[in-house]
Amino acid sequence: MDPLNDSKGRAAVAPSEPAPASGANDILLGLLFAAIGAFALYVGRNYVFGTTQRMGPGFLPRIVAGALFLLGITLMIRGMFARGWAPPAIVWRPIVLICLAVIVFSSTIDRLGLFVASLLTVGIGACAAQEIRWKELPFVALGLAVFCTILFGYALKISMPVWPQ
Amino acid sequence: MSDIVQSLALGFSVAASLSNLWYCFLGALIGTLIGVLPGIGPIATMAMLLPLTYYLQPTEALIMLAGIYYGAQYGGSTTAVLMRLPGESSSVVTCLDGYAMARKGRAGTALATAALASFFAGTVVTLLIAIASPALTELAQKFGPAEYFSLMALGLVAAVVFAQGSPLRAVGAIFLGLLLGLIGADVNTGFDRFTFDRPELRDGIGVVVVSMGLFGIAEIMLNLSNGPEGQGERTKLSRLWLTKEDFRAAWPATLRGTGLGALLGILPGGGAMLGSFASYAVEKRISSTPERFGEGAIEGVAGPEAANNAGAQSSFIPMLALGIPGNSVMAMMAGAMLIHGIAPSPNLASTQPQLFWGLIVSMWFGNLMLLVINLPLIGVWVKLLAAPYRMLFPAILLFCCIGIYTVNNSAFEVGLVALFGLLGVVLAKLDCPLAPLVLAFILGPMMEENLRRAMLLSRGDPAIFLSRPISLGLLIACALVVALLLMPNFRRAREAATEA
Amino acid sequence: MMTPSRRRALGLIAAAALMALPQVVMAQAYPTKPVKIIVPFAAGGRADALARMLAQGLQEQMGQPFVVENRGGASGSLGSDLVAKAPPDGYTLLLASTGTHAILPKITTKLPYDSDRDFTPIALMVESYSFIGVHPGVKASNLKEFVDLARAKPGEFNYASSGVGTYNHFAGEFFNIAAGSKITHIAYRGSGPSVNDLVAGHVQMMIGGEFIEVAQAGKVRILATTNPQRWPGLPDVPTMKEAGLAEFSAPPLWFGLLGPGGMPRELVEKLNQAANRAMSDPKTVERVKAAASIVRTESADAFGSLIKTEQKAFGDVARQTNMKFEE
Repeated sequence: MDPLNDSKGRAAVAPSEPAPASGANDILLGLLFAAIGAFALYVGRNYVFGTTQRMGPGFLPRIVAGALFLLGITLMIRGMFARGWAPPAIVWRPIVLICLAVIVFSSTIDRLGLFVASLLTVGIGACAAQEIRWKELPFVALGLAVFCTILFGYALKISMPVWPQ
Repeated sequence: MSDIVQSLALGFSVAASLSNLWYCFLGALIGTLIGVLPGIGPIATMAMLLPLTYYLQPTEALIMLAGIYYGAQYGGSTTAVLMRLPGESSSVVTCLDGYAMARKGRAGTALATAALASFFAGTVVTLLIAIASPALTELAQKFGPAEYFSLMALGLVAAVVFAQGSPLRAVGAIFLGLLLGLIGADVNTGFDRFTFDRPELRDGIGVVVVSMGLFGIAEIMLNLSNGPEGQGERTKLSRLWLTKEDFRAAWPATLRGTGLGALLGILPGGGAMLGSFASYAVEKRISSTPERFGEGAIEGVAGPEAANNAGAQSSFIPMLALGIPGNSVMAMMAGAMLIHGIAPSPNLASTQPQLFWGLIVSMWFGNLMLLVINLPLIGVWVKLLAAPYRMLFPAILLFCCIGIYTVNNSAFEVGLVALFGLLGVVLAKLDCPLAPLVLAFILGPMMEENLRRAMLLSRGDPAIFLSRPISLGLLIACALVVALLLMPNFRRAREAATEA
Repeated sequence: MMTPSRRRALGLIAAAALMALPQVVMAQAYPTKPVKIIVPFAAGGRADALARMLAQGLQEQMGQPFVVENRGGASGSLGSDLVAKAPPDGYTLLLASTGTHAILPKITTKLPYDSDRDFTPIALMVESYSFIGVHPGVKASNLKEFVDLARAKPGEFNYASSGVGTYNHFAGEFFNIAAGSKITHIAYRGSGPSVNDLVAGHVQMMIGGEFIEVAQAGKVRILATTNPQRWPGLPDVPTMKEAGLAEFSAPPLWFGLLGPGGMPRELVEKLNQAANRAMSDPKTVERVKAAASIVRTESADAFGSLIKTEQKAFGDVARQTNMKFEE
């Protein structure tokens, strides 16, 4: 087998690379990379850079963030030359609700304990489904909360508050 | 040689005692059952179950703990295949093709492949530990900061191989992973970088948090936004076993994975988690049909799973031969020994031969039990997928939260998972490959640490990387990979020029 | 929202009110529910093992579960913070160490608590032994030869630590000051990798107790113990003073039990006695020995003043060598 000639290699960086399905993805991803890179450069602006001989804590952050920024710009430019503009369709409701469910768990577990946190998390999370079955939901939430409380709180006795403090 | 036979015989007599067999089985079983809960990986499982072993005899305790570890590890691979939930960083790779196989209704085959490849690797490495521990330890000791740096550099370059589609995006993902890895206090100066004054961030973000968010939570969000039709396919079950062609494809990959995993696993300080990545990169690179990778190539499951288990097993070597725990799992094993008043030490084989050889032989028993426990269970796991997704995903979500919390008892880390879930969805929607990001996230901090350590040791002379043979060899390999990646373009450009 | 000072004032008033109450009754009733012992480090390791031994002993004496909870992170300050903010009722305790309470407050200004005011010393549990270990390839068979070698070749040797501002790091600087040497500090992430590189010879020296087993197998050469007396486990190893470097003044490493600030006297006494009894159990004494340590019991007051003295010693060296978490 000729390793130089496989399909992977042919897809490598090149001006003649077949354009991606849409330039929008390149532009948006480039924007994201460039924004994160720029933000990191800003946050780390005072980190000591040092010298090659004696690198400071800011040496690698500056290089990596800079490279990410430049790469983002490159991607954006490539995207602008690509044909087609079809930004990805994103359905926000499940994304927001799942994030919210996780955050609720994180902010209630220490004070309200495993049982209540589980109830809330499953309750909110389950609403992220396409079709919500309101009759089913309370049972799913209660069942999971009871199961986890018994398994982790009592059977395994892990060090985690189980009931409100 | 007869020494080894004698020692192994002693080990067999210890490990095959009824009580030790029982604890080995119990550990593997509980480890599997807890580890298979989606979102609860080996480290969380061990942290949860560690106290169970405090009341046992030292040998029983260690044997059970080893069983828990294997069980949890295998359980993590199971969720990686079924739900794209990596229990730990090394099953991130299994998510790629294992999950793709599951989506094509081949979850049973993927799980059986993982079990068989793991068992094979476990058997080989157990023998290796018995025969060659001292020699392997000596080899590992040759790895100083310079060698580690060069190895990490090679790993990063190879990460581009994981890319599906545009390498430019893969490179971006690598830099983003590196940047995320820099969060936390700088090892050399204690300086806080990108911690935003949160003390929880001083030790950096856990690999489990990143991979669970990017893969697990993000997958739930993607599935829900794709609607019910997105989930229908997985429930179509064809078969649970491997076909002849499957065997033919998986067998050599398993062999290579075992070798790679065993070698990387003996390096203390994170070698074990690189094995599965390395194996995947090799399989994809040498395959005549690399385009199948990411679409459910069985080599992409067999190789990394073998490497994963081989690495897990050979990471016991520095611990057994030197008494130095190489990673957090081994640190827990060492802690369990201390509780029983046994200090992990290089003399363990001579001062506690029963425990030492009993533990080694139990490793093999543990692997055997995994096979015995898991092959029949595959049918059960796969059937679980037939449960309606609207019931399944809230459970996955909750277990993820609990699993992350258990690792460090940190509510903050659970919150971070939400953030990484969000990042994972956005990146997936924008066709950005995630595996290179995770790999760079793991490699980055180690690479920086060792780069700066090597430069400190050489008092600022970069020649240290070229004057040490292993380091030089790794850097040459690095250059070769870069050349391989770039060459086709040169060639094509040249062809284009001559044609014009 | 109450301002911190106002809350502290209220806390003091509450504490004073508690003092006035018949505290004997309260202390006698303690404990009426499970007690948490926070270990500010990850599961596994010396501190965790010690906490579990102590918890078992206390549980047997007091008849309530003593639950060990690991809250690792940020050099132990995350777990310490939980205890600092807990009510001083004896139901939340901390397994502290030299690192968390004698060193950390001297190298960072960012702690979310006051290391003195927000804690009550209860019981010293264990004194750990530290040793000067060198790689066997170093051409020095005793401490004196090594000191001469290090002085003759400034900048040639390196010493390993398990991180910036850890006990190993400080001990190394104490050594440099005492011996007038310039051995370069190399920080590692945790004790595993540092011991590994010492054994492999990538670094030449380390001061700590982490490599004692490795040394007994001949892979590291021990030159002296840095504790004031010899370790019973290695009676032939001299102390620094005996080996000719009396100037070395690093205090030994300890682990002990602390509670939140302002705990009532009676309660502290009760816990002190129970902890001392638990640690003196012959089985525990044996187990502690395996970790190159000895059980040391003191009164709560003596423990408190020990912490104070050590803070000063570490603070002096931190100032002298400009050692701190850079900010």
